Amino acid sequence: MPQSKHPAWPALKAAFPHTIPILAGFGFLGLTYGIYVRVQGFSFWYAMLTGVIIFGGSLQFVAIDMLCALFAPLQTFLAALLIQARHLFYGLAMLDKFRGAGRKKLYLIYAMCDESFSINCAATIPQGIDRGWFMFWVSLLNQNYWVIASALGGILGGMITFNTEGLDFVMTAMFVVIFLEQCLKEKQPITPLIGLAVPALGLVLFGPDQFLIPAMIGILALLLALRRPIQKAGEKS
Amino acid sequence: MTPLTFPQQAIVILLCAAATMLPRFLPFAVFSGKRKTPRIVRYLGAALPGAILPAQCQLAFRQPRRA
Repeated sequence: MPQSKHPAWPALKAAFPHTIPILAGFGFLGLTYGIYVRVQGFSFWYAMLTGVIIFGGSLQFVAIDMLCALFAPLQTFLAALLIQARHLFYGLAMLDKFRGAGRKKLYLIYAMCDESFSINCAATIPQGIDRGWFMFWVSLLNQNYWVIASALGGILGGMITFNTEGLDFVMTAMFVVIFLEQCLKEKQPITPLIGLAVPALGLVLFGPDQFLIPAMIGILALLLALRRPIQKAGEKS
Repeated sequence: MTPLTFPQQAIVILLCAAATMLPRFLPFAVFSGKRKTPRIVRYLGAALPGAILPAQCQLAFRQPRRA
């Protein structure tokens, strides 16, 4: 008998509880997506494979609409890029955290949806747990919830109708909890304030469909402009 | 039902995948392990989570259909 287990298994045990809100949220959202795909006239394979090939929920809904519209490759690419541009910032924030994950790093980057980013970015990983494996399991579990639920929705299709409205609120609640936990960890209040104020201003100026990219640019500009006070405040405490 | 042929459908799905993977991979491709990451980028990496997580909350309240 080997003395110590492979680092993957304790990491799975530590990671799973963090993904339970996503199990619930992606469970229902995936079903909704699968049903949507089926109702638009596609087989459940489309629901499943888009979850593997694209893996980005909001874009996947739009992609199904694109499949029902006229063929316009350049427009498709640019529209998709606008929806997904926020991932640039996720990557910047995870540059250091993904270091040392070995070959798993490629999967971590590929599967970095909003939810997995948020959990992996803020989670306090217990001592003795392998960081790379922890993040790998969070990402893999989340993607599986999404793909399996999408496939189920696609298979059940029109057979069932149920109201999922409000059920995805479980994930909104998770984002709030993760943010509050991050606030407790931050040594200075400036970055959370920037993250609250700039998107709020963006919502007022640009509306809910357009605010995200201007907000991200605004956050980046303010972080750069306030570099000195932020670093100073971070060192003090 | 879709007016697109199967190859056209495949192109649309692959373009959506490319548009997703480009922003996900770009920072890692630009600041790869060999060269030392510029200090300003390391600063941003440390400061961004505190600002992105509240932004994500507001996104979650505004756009419930996402993954």
